[in-house]
Amino acid sequence: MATSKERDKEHGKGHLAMNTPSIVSQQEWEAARQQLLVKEKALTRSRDALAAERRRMPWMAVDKKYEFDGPKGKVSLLDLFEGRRQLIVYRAFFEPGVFGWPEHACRGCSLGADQVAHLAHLNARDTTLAYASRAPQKDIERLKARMGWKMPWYTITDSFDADFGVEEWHGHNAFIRDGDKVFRTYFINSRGDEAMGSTWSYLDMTALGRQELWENSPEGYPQTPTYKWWNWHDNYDAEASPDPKWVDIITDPQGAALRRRDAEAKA
Amino acid sequence: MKDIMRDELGAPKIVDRSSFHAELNALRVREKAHTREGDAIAAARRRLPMVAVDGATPLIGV
Repeated sequence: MATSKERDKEHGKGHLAMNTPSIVSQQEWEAARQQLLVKEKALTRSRDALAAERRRMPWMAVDKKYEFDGPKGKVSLLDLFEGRRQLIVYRAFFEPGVFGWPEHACRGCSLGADQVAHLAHLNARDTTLAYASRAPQKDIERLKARMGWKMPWYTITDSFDADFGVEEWHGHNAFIRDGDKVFRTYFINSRGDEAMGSTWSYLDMTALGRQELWENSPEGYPQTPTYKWWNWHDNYDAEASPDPKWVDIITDPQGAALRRRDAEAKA
Repeated sequence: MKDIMRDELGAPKIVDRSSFHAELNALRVREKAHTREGDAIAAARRRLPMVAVDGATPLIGV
């Protein structure tokens, strides 16, 4: 690892070549931060309210039978759900004519792929993420191995991209299914796409949201207690219902700490 | 598998492509305002004052 001194020497930038803000005491800085925090909190609430609006969007029926190539052959849009309730499809540009082909996918799409969270958490909310491009499966397989990407990645074979607003530019489409019937529920593209990648960014674009009790969702939408469904990414399958000890900690953190101390004192 | 629309959800409105896009465009106005507000807050963060920190504070690492 290079030291700061080494990097500064290499790049010839020992000191910041820009106007710097005023240097203040810890107390003054905290006061300035608290002032900005009011706006930060308002932004967070406004994002929650926006996600609540997304959950009230009407659903668009998808009647056309789309066909994709997958690692095991032809699959339908319904198959992309992998049996889960919801599906998010990201249209990544990886095909002839795209800068970087055939070694790489589009740079922006690749940056996005690098920030995809561990999918176990999204999957635990009955939601599947899939990538889709026009490159053949053998190229997609090679790309995933090279870049260390693990998400399911399909080949578009028909008008799926044109029909869902992603024939020229990237975008995330969210779907829900009712048995075998598929509905499109939301679409995020353009600047909106850059924030995608965290578990919450994905859930916040779906029709069902994070499915936690605090959310403002339409009547009857599935919701479970906040935090309690969270698990280690390698432990969701092993633990069908939340561990009572975790539920205790998350419900009453101070009480749980006291109880643990008592138990340790007795031991 | 449970039938989500009949068993669990208050049935959402099912619309055609053009109605869906009209709704999407309406909500997009709010989406864009939210994005701009996020950009404005990031700009305000860049203008916060700074606190001097002793860079020689020892930490244990590799």
